[in-house]
Amino acid sequence: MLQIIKLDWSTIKYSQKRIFIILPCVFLAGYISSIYVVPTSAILFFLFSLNLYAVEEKGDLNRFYLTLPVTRNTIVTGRYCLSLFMVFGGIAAGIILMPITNLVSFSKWYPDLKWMITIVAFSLFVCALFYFFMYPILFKLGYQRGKFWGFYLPAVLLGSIYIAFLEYASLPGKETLITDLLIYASEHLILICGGMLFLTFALLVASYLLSLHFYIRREF
Amino acid sequence: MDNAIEVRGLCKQYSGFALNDINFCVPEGFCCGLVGPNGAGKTTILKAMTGMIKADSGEIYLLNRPCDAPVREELGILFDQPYFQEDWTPLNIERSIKPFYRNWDTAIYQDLLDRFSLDPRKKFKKFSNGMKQKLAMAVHLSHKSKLLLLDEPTSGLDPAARDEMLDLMREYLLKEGRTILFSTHITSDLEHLADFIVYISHGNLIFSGEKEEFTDSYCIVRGRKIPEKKRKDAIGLREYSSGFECLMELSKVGGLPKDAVTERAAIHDVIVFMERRQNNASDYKT
Repeated sequence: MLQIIKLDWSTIKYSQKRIFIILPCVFLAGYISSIYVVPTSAILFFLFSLNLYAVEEKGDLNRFYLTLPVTRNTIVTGRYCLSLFMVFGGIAAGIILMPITNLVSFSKWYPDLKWMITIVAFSLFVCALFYFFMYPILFKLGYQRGKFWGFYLPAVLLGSIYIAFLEYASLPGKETLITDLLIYASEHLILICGGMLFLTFALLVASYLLSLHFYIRREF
Repeated sequence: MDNAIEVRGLCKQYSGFALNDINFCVPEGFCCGLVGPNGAGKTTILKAMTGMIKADSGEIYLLNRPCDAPVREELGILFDQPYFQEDWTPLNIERSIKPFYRNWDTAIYQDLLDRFSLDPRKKFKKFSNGMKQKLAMAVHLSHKSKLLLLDEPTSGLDPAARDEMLDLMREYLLKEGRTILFSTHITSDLEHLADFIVYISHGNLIFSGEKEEFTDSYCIVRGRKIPEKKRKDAIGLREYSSGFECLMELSKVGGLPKDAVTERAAIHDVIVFMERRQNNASDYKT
């Protein structure tokens, strides 16, 4: 498993430097409000993990993997693991960047552990939605054939909902909406965060099983 | 003697093409050529062997094991071009592939890179086709594969590079217990290298057996006019104003006119005449 994760990572060798573009983008989001830092970082790192699909057809990566002594099951599992590592890395980077962005942010925010847990749970939930809508399609069709249904469409739809929500939350009279939601979530931590984490887990498992189902039947 | 490859009842259906009940085996230590015209099903068979496609039915055993992931540790698989990332150097390739093979030998790999004059720091995309094939062979030799499955390994190579590739394949076979199955439509490669031949046409197995058996069973017949009663025995009959030529099974050459001459058929001749027969038959059908 570790071998396939390493191999996946080495295949995106020339995309790895893009990570350094993500961090300024995250910082920019934090400039508006540091609440946005962790979700933005998690989502951008998730999107970065899609480089694995973008390179796979250019270099016939799937066929290359199938010449190696690894099962398709391992290939799918390895891809999920590496991608999840990236998302967790994104969340960790967001948590580190948050207090820094808070120094320069328009909207000052003083993190509380319960709020932080809520934000992390929300970030994971959003990423799980991406996993559910993107990965099975990309595993079934590959990047070239699947990029409309498995990348652009979910990215635009989920991105639009996310931005629309942020815009709505910045309307006059709604300035405290996010804070109110965070307060509510922190007061009902088990219900809200537990629920989000449960949904995240369910979406990830469903996404993984669908991806496995499609990839095992895919022909190259 | 154990079989390195056993294919039993392999079937695969696509729209417009079907691989029908393919059965053949290749004993350990020999080289087998998988031959047939373009679109005959050679690559489909190799893909089924490597698990890139799923057969509709049938069984494939490689090195006496089902053809799944564990057996690939002892396989060298090479389709027209190695599937290495364009930006990888031979050093990157070793670093990436080595952990998958318990028998990987870095010393052998380094030796082969030296021998083939492959710069370990040069990007894969900058190598010529011949160099790429050599690099792939270096990889397969370094993990001590026991069976090579090669899809048209010499196509697209200039004559010198092709000759080197054939030499490499010959050298690979020197060590006991190593087997090669390679598809090709360059029949001279088969003459030089193959011990066995599997001949596929339009998804059907036409012949599978020893090379000599393939060529020694047939002869080319040329003459002025073919007798009516011999027409049914003529394979790929072609008639000109000056005479005729066809392929015929050796056992059926009796009864030909005195002016008819027979000559030994090469692999190329057998395939060309067989294909002509197939095409004539489909012409009549249409």
